[in-house]
Amino acid sequence: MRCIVRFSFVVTALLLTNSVAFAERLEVGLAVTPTMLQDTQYEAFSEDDLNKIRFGADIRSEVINLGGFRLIPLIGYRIAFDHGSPYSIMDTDLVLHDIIAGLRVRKGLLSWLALCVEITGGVLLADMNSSPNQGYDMSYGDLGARQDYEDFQHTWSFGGLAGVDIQLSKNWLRSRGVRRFGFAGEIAGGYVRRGDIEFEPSLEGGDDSSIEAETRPWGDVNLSGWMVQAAVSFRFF
Amino acid sequence: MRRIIQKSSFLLVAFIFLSCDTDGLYDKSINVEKTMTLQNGVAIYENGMGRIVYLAASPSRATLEEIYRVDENEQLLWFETGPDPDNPSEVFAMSVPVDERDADHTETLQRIHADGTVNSYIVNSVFNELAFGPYQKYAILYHGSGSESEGGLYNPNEVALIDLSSNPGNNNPSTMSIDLDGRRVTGVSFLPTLSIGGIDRQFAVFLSEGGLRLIDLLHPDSSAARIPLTDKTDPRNVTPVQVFAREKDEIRDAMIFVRANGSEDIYAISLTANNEGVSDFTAAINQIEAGGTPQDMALVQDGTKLLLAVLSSNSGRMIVNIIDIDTSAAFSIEVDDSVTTAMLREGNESEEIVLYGNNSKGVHFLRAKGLTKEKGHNLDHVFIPDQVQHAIRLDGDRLLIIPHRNRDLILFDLNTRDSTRLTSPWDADWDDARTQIYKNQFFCVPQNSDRINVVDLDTGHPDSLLLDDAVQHFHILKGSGTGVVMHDTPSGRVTVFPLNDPTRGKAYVLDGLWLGNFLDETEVTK
Repeated sequence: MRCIVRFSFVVTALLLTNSVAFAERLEVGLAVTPTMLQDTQYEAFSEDDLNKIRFGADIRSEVINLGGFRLIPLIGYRIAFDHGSPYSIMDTDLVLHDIIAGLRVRKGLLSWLALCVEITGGVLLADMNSSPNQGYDMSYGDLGARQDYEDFQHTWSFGGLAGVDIQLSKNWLRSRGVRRFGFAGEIAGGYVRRGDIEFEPSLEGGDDSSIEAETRPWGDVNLSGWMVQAAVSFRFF
Repeated sequence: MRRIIQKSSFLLVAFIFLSCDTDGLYDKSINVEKTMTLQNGVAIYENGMGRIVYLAASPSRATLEEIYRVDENEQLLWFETGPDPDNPSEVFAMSVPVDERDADHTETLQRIHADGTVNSYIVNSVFNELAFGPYQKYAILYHGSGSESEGGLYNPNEVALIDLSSNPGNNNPSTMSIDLDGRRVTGVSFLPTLSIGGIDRQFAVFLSEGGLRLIDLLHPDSSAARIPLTDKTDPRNVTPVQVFAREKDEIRDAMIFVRANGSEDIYAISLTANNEGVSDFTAAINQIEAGGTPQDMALVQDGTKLLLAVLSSNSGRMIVNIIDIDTSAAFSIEVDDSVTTAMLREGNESEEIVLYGNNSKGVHFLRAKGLTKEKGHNLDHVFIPDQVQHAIRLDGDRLLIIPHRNRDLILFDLNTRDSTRLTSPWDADWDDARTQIYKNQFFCVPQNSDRINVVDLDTGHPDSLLLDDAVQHFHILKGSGTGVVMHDTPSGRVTVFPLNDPTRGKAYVLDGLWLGNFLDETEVTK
C-alpha cells in the first residue's frame, strides 16, 4: 500500500512538473463512471443490480503531439460505494478505491470535437464492512459477542476507454478573453478488468474479554465489468 | 461524425441492456430447521438453502461441510439420528417428491453419513416413524399413529425392513404388511437376540391395540407369531406400551413381558421351540395380575427366584406387586408416595428398584436381595425437602430433581443417596432446561440463558461458562469430548469448548456458518 502511495506521489509530481514546463497541457478531469459488473456474486454487495457508480478525478498532462495525436499520461482516482443485504440477514457496505495511472490518446477532429482512447492500470482497494441487519435481535450484542465483519483487500486493475471529447473552442474562448483555460465534456465507454478479490473478513466488535472468534472465508468476487464514463475536464494552457 | 454518434449510442444501449436486474442469487433466507447431535459433530438442516451441513468439532478446531443438498424436486419431511441411539453417527431423513406427479422421484429414506456419503433406500411410501434395532443391524420404517395419507390409500400396517449392514438394493429394504387382525401398528420394539430351541432369534415386536406380532428378522419369511392380548369378545382397548425380554436359562424358556394400557394384567409370554419345524416357535401367554393399574415394571432376581415387580396404582395408592414367575406367588408392598417409575439398577449390594415420580415426596429404594423374605421391610425412603416437582433420570446413577422451588435443582446420587442442592439467584424454568451428563460433569442450560452451568459430580462444585451470546441449542459430542453451543444469529455462530475444561479461555467461536464461501455460489438455489 505504501509503495502505491509513493508511486502515485511520484507520478503526480512528474505530471505537475511537466505541466509547469508545458503549461498549456495540464488537465483536471472529474468523472462519473457507471460500471456494469459481470460477476453475479457482486449481488451480495448490491441491493438492486450489478451496477456500481464510481466517482473520481484525473490529473492529466499532455507530453507530446505526434501529428495531431496527443499523448496524455494521467493518474486518477475513483471511489464507489455500494450496499447489499445477502440472504436478508446482514448489511454489507463496500467501498472501492481505484488508483490508476495510464495514457490517453486524443485526436482532434474538429476544433470542438476529438476522439479519445485511454488505457489505465492500477490497483483496486476494497474496504468491506458488514453487520447483522435489523432482522437480528441486536440485544444479543450486549452480551459481548463479536459480530461485525471487516475486511480490506486489494487486487490489480486494467482498463480501457474510448469516446468523444467535446471542448469549447479555443478561438471562441479567446474571443471572450479567456486565454489560459479550457473546458471539455466527455462521453466514453470501455471495460475494466480486475483480479479476483477473496474476502476473508475478521470479526470485530465485542471487547477485550470477548471469546476468541473467527469466521469462515466468504469466497471470491470479481469486479470486472463494462463501463461508461461521463466526465468534464478543466484544461490549463 | 454520424458514425461516432451511432457507435456511442450503441454502446450506451448495450450498457443499459446488460444492466438488467440480477437473478436473485442471495434472495433466499437462511432458516435452520433442525440440529442433530452426532458422535463427533452436529448435523444441521438448513431449509432456506436446502442443505444439511455437518459441523465437526473438537476442542481445538471446528469445520463445516455440506453433506447433503436437497434436490429442488424433493423435500425432507423428518429426521432421525442413528443407528445407535446412544451414540448416533448418521442422519436418516424421509425424502418425498415436492410434486406428486414427478415421476423421477419417489419416497426414499436417505441415510446420510457424516462424511457426506449417502445411501438411498427407496421405500415407496411416506412412513413417519423409524425404529432402530439393537447392534445397529436393522431399522424398521412404519406408519405411526400420526401418519396421514395424501391423495390415496395407504396400508398403515405396511413396514419397510432395512438391513443397515447392506447397501440399498432390490431386496433392501424389504416391505411387508403386518397382519394384526385388522388393527394397525402403533409401535415397534426390538428385543435382544433370544435363543429358542438352539436357534438365535432377533425379534421385532409390532405393537397394536389388542395384541402384538413377533417377527424374527433373521428368518423373516418363516417365523412370525401373532399374540393376542384380548379375545374378540373383549371390549377393552388394551394397547401394549412396555415390552422387555429375558433370555432362556437352565430353568426357564425365553420370555417376553408386556405391559399394556387398559389392562390390569402383565402378559408373560414364553417362547419355546416348535417340534414341527426347526425354524418355528411357539408362544404361550400367561396373564399375571398387576394388583391395580400397572405404571411400570421390572424383572429382578432374588437368589434363584425370578420376580416381576409391577408398580401399580390401586384406588389412589401406589403398590409394588411382586410376583414369583415360577410359582405365581405374589405379595404387595405399599409405597406411601405418588411414584410413577420403577427403575431397575445395580445397587451397592444387589439389584435394586428405584421408585420415583413427578410430584412425589422423595425417592424410594427396594433391594432385590432378600425381597421375598423382607416383603417390603427393606423399602428405604429418602424424602426430598420441598418435594419433587419433576424427576429426570440423567443416567443409571443419578436423578435430576426439580423441587417445588423454582430456584433450586437437586442432583440425587443413587449410589450414595446423597443430594446436591444447587440454587440460582433467580427463578429459572428448569423443566425446560437442557441437561446432560458427560463423565463426572453435569451440564445444565436453562432456556434463554447465556451461560452453561457445569457441576462437578464428584465434589458438587458448580461453575458456569458465560458466553458472549444467548444459547439456542446445546450439544455434547461424546466422541470428541466437545461441547457445541449454537447461537441464534442470522449468519450462524457456534461456541465450542472442551467438556473437560469448560472455560472461556479454552472456548472459541466459529462465526458465519452460512457465509462460508457463499460468494462462490453459482446458481440460484431452491
